Amino acid sequence: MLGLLIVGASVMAALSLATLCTCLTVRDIRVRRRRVVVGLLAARSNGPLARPRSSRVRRSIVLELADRLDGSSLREQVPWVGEVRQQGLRDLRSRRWVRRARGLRILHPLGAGDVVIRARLADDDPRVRTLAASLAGGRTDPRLLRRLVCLLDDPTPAVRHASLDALTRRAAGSTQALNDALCGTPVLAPEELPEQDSLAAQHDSAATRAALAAQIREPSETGAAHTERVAPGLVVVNVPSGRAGSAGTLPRPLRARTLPSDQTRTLLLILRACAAAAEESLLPAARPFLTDARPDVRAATVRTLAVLGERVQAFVPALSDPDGRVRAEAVAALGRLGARSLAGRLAGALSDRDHGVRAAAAAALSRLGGAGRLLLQHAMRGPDRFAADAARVALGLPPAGPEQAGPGPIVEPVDTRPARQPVHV
Amino acid sequence: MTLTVLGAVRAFNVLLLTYVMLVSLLQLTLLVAAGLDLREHRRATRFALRQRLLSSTVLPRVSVLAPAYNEEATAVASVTALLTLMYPQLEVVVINDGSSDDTMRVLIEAFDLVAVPQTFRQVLPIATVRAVLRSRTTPALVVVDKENGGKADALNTGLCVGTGDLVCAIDADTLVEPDALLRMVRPFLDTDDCVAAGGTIRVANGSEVRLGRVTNVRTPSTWLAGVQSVEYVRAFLFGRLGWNRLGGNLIISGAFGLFRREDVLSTGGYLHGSVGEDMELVARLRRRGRDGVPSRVHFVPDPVAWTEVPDSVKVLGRQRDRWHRGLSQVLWDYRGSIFNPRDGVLGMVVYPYFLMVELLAPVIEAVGLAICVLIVAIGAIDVPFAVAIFVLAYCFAVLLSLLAVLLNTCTSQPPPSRGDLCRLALWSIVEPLGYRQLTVYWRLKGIVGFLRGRSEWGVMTRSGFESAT
Repeated sequence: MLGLLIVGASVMAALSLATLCTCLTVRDIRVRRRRVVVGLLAARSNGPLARPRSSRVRRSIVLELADRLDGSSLREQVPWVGEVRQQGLRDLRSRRWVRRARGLRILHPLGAGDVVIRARLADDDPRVRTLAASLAGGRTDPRLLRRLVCLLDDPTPAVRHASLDALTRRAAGSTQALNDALCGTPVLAPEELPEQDSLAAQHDSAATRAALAAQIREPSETGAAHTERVAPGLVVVNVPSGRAGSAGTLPRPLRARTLPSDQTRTLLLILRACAAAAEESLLPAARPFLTDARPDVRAATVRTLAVLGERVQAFVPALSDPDGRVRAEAVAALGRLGARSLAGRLAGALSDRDHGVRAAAAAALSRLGGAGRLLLQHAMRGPDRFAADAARVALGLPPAGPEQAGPGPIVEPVDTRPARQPVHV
Repeated sequence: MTLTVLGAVRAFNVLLLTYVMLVSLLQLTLLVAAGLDLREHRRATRFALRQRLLSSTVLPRVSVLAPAYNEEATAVASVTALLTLMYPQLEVVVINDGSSDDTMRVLIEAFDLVAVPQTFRQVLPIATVRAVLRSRTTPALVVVDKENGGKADALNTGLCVGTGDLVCAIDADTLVEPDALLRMVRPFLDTDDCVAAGGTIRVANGSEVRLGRVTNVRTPSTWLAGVQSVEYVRAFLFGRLGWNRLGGNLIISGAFGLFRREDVLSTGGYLHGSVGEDMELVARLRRRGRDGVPSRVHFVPDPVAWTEVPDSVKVLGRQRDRWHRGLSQVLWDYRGSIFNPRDGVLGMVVYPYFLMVELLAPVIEAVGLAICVLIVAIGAIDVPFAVAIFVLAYCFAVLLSLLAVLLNTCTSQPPPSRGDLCRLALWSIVEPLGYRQLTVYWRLKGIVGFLRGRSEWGVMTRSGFESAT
């Protein structure tokens, strides 16, 4: 027994020593790699960069520089950029999602355009789809935007969030897709389904053309991916099946093509994207949801319609909606639209039973200018302390003196409603 | 008589050995789980475009709740650091919890604060609010001046006043990394069921701090701060990270945690009068999982915040005493969850672990030490065997600490210097000798304090970051 204990203790001691050595080695490797990158970047002004031996360092340098330089300057300063690009292309065809994500990340700053990103939006791994959606922000290709609209119904929250974020950055081009989504008509045409993905590309840059040309010279080892030059500057790339968009593994929203408007979460995201698009042509499609049975949807619709420029009278029924959130949104919308003719109704909302509506009414009245501010000054002298305080906040006045002050802030009991199922993007 | 004592000692030894082996096995499991989780996290975040989130309009709004009690010296620097956090939709709510010094005056002067009407909804019971102030120069800042009511009360006030979808609760002495919120918000974007997220806290003693930011990371050079830095690395990088993988996270440090505001409000906010209010809140949020309500708690392994640990034995003793009283209180309050299959992993693994390993370990260690003294007194000790057992246990403890240091080396940005790494290794070797026995004493005091019904926090004095430079 004693011998066993001694052996055990010796093993532990040896492992501890080995761990310590590993710590030092890991630290040294990280520091050395960092030094090489920093050193090479610092030496940039002395001419083209020397080719580092480590592929990881090469990638780091290209990623570091690609966001700051245009294609020709990059080729001038980093003569070995082609190697990194080819590695990116190889990575895109990998079976491992980390490699595909890496390939996308490398090729994106090198000018890989809508073709590559659109293909990865149909990747079977949600992490790659998320990255592709993040990189899609600001792009204008309508087919890419249609795919992004479809991904608002993705089962993975991160993909939905990235897609919404991308759409809010450049939503104007997605008007038709958002319209289709609201109307329940297919967002993607049958020929746009990823399994038939003939990605005809009008490439953004010489870098992408070169990248895809390199792919032509270097067919996939599995034979699943092939490219074909169909015209000068136009290349067709077939997406490797089984990795990105095969029929069996295709993300649900892309397979269905139609977004389910009966699903609250998806509908709320579509309405949010519509508000970001701010295109008046979306009004007819969004209007019917003003009478939806779900209060969340009604509130979001009011907000969206206000951004899209709906006429003020359309919001009047929402002022007497049974749900406080809808009333608050309607009041805020009328303030935003400058509905002076409805100033009296807004003043009435100052005594609403919901405090959110009262606060929104005070803010809305202050936006109306003269008449609204007069009504707020009147409310300041009224018996309702919350309305008076909200009016003071809206008018930018200090709190009332102690002789006018009431018993303190509005006290409400702890909310004992059953816990909600949260709505996330 | 001696034979009876020896028989009892032997029986206890067998029990102790079984206990030690079980605990060691669990710790190794946690370590492996932590390593896997860390690998997964690094792969998932390596290519993420975090900076792009800065210009996003769809991120949830975050209210940072910063309770302040007699923070006159550091209040302006801390609030400035919070206001300059990299997050697009940020609100900073400072709650002056009835400070008796000039905290309010310095804040009013520095940020040009003016009183505004109190139009917030008081959905939780809180102490009287004297004034709500807003800054003329910094719209994102709200300061609440209230009667003293303790940290839980201050945080509840912040929950009522804050308007964010998420609330970030921090301690007055926490230094938050500029991109910490961008890292911490990730679990809320990635999953539907996340109600809270915690991040790694590191020890700032010995590091250079300027304007509320850690500018030069150094391993503490004093014994007490050094061994605590090893303890923090171990607790966060394989304790909480390991539980993260196994789905059993139960603690989010009160020094830095991000919560979904609506969920915290619907569970009643922080518990008044509790000395372990942070753990209690997480336990309450997680219990809702029984009813199928989303209740997942995530841990983000990126280093996100820094704290100053006590550098005097007396203050540290008070802190550990309080922590253990808090743990005892929570385990007592949630005793119905222990070995309760309705709570899943939490009930069958996590609560029993916290009971047997975290809570009762000092009792078992103390009894073991007492028995050692007893067998030495009756001359029945087998010296070589006892020494071998001691060396084995010691080497295992050092190995666990060094493995945690390895995880730390892999994640620290920038990588630590050789000197700092060697110093951390040295503190790992020193920590089981003396310091751990001291914590046993403090934790026993905590258990006794809980049994006697003590509930005071005790005075915590800090030397301040500037002097730690």
